[in-house]
Amino acid sequence: MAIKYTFLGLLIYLTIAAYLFAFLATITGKKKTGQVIYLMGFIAAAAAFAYRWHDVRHVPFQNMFEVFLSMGIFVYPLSIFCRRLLRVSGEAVDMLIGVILLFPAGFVFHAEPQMLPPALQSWLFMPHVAVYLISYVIMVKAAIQAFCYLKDKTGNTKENLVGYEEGTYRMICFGFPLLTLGLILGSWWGKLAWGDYWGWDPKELWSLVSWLVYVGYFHVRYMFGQKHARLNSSLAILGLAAIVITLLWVNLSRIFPGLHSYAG
Amino acid sequence: MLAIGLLAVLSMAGAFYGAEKAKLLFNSIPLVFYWYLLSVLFLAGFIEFTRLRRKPGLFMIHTGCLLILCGSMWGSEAGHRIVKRFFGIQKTPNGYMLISKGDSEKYIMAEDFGRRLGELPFSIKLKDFRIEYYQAYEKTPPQLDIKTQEGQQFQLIAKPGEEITLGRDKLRVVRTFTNFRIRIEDNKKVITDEGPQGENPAVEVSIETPDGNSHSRFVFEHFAGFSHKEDGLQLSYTSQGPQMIRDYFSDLAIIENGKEVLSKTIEVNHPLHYGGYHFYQHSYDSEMQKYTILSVTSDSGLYTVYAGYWMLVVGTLWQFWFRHIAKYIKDKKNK
Repeated sequence: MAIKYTFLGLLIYLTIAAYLFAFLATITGKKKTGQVIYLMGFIAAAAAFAYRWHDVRHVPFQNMFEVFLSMGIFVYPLSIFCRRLLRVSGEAVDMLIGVILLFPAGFVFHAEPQMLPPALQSWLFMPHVAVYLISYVIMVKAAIQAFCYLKDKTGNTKENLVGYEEGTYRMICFGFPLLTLGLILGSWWGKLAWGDYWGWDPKELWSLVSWLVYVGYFHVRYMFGQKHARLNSSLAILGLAAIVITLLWVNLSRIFPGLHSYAG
Repeated sequence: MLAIGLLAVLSMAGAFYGAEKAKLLFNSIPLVFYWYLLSVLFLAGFIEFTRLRRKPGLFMIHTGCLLILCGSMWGSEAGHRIVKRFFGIQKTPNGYMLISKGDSEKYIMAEDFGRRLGELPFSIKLKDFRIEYYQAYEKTPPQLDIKTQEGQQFQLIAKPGEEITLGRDKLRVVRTFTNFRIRIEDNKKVITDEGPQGENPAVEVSIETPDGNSHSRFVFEHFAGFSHKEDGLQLSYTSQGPQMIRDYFSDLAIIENGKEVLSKTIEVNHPLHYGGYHFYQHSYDSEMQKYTILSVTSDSGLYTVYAGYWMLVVGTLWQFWFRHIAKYIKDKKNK
């Protein structure tokens, strides 16, 4: 446990509490109250992100603590965007995703500031990591839609929202270009920093696996449509499993030593 | 679907093998056949599925993947051999150069510098090499914490020559080490400081007693609070760690026919491109900073790969985002 008795820690715990109360309020039918608390949680998360940025003097994407802290702020805007524009349900679950994503930042990873090593001092650092983190949050939402489909095929079609299968497809359509952009920007950056656009590093290979799983999803869905919707949904969940391995296992396990070890 | 699944499984296996073995695996003969097969499948897809030709997004995505494959094969070692055999163009795919300050070099070497891999049609001169450190580390002086037998605590800036009187004894800083090491030379122990990237910061102090005797002690940052029976002092050293490198730079000049035709300062993320090669700041002489090590990579196939990247990104954005946004706007207008 790495409990933080700092101002940054206070902001993180406030966000976690706000997201949790927003979730409880929403599932108990107090949607408006839930929305207000959710927004307050987002403001606290944004303040934590800005504070950290100012403190370390670079965009806080360097280590696992900063990665989870950053993902915590992407949840709210993505949740609103997905509901209003993509008509994808799951706002209450998004609040819980926010809690889960911020938990490692609040309790697991240490928050000691680190200077950027030479390889990370590139303008590509921010867009490469940002697009990946946003796409990861989107793919979490996609996997939850897929899981809900496997549990309950009909889905929530109230309030002009789409069903779970269509919701999964829309989320993956939304996240896949960002996943592609993350892969390409990383490759380009690798060429500038290390001299090779593809180094067969475990992190690179697992990110390719994640990308290929979603490529497989699109091909299966194109070939069979919704005829094998359970297979589509299973692939969406498999995609998230590959993302979790890319993000966590590759950096935290000693099984995969590689060029991305600074991200641990 | 099979090809995608196979690539995913091989990538997983490669991740467990590690980068070196994975590179060998993906460049092995069976995998070379796989890459060719994948390229042929892309071409067959264009012929078989009209949708791939007619939908701009799908066309760009698949063409992008094909270009990346072709560019990678062209830039590979086998690709370089084929180009040499059929077109007579001789380029070294990749290697390393070690250049001392003031010297010029034109040979590309293997990583261990034991084997010559190729020769450039020009020379590269290293005009200067320098390292920059983070300011926070430079400004914070190293510190020595002293606790006497009586429990009194003192602090001293750990710079050679600094002194402090501790009751009747006098403590003086003799020398600091960023990386303390003991070497055996001619059966004698020799204490050395091995460069700025040290892992064992230490300080040597001399303690003088009132009777005129003195003895030396080494205080190691990683073993704080040790005390000796001789003086009973508990000493801890904080060097603020080894200086953290912000960046390192090589001032290079391209020499062709005895004339300097280009000069550029390279650093990590900012390579030099000249004559069909990229030159990267790879490593340096960590002890004396007298030489730099560049990694050299041929640019064959690179722009084909980059074209593939652009097509893939624009294609996915068009297929999954812009197409839908355009439709949404059109529907709104029609309403």
